[in-house]
Amino acid sequence: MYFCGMEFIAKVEDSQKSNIGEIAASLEGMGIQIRRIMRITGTIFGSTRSLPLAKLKIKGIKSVEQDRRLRARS
Amino acid sequence: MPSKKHPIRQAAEKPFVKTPDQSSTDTGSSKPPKKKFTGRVLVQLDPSVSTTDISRKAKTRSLRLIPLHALSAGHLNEGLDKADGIIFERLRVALVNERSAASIKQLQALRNTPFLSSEPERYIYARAGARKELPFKDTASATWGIQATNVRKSKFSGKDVKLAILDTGFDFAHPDFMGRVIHRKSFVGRQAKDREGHGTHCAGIAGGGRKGKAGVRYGVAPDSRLYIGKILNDQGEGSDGLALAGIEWALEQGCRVISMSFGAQVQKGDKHSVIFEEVAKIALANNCLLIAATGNESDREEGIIAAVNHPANCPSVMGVGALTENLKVSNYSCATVGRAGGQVDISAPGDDILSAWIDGEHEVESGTSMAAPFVAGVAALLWEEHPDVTAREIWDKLIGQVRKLGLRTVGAGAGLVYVP
Repeated sequence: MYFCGMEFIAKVEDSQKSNIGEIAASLEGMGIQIRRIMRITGTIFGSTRSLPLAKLKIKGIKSVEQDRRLRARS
Repeated sequence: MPSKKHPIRQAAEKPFVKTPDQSSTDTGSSKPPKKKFTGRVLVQLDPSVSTTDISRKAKTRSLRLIPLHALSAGHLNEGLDKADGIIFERLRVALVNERSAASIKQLQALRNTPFLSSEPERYIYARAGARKELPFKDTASATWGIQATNVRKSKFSGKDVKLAILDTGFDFAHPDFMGRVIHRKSFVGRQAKDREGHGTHCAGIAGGGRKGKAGVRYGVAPDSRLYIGKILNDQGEGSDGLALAGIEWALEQGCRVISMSFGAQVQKGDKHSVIFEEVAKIALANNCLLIAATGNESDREEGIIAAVNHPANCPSVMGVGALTENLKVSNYSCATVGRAGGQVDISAPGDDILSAWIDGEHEVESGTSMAAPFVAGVAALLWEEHPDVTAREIWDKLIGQVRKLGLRTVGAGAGLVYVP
């Protein structure tokens, strides 16, 4: 099945916040581009060309969601 | 002795319900004086003593008390001119005119008196309930939104409270903000300069002041410390990842409030983002409140009610709906739809809101985008007043001090954000 690339946001387990850099590195090792690591909120912003979101939920990742488009509200 | 007017009639002759002119909605206007007491006296009568015996007792002090049923309907005041007082037989209360008040006091002092107690008769006035139905209007001193939220009553100005606006950036050369230290960071390019206008408008509502030195006040917290995070591009578009980056930056800077006038439409039944909900909880734990616009996809006139947008639909993000100048839910404002969706927590002025704009200008805009920064600004006032409380407590104060509007909570939440 062809799978087009997408951007995603991910949240690490609270207990793994201090390891967020290593978790992001593991994702990079899977060919995923990491755009931003946010340590206070324990979130990662990245993009994948080939993997479905479910495959990104590696050890230490609590949840993954597709990055949504946002617009000004007026 | 001049005749007393019946209090209700007198109130009607002095109209306290204001007409819908500018002063009617400007809290800076003076109120007409209201008299409190009529001079007449209400007397509580012993229920075990007959009306006849009470009249007989009154006569011992030359007072003529007549029963209400002896008067023609609508002639209470005339009766009080002809007699000294009127007995309301069923209520066991007498109303005694001004010239006989002293005699009643003497009767009260007697042993075994049927005149148990007395108190001055008060004027009663029609409540100005119709006032809230009148449209607010911008005046020379304040926009309608500033009037409706009553922020000018606050002794606070958000001084030094760190207030983040995540949007299209800001016009850092705007003359209304000269001398202000404004922190900035762009997540969509090199500069946080606003080329669209939306971000400047929202920041102006939350953290601006007046137009010029002495012009109309359009901003809620003019002494707050603004943190401008450009997470929307010059077309007003961004993404979750950029929003999270902006939230992270605001938390790093120690911001107490983050105003988010952006969102993504959701469908009825969609659940909120687990990630944004967790982030909002982390923000609260870091003493920072996330405040978001609920969205503009409704069309009430056509019977279309759209669900609260993401991320305002997260339980730990305060979702703000928009109100008209008549304090009705704006036609476009999204609402609580179904059990699974997010809810409108609070409302604020959203229609025809004047604020700062790019190129040093000012514009009138409408949307829940305008409503959210009103709440963010009032939150900044509260943080200045209560610097040691938690963000949850600020949330509770915002909700607890709303002006209730009698509107359905699905559209308006708890009510209008308000400074009591």
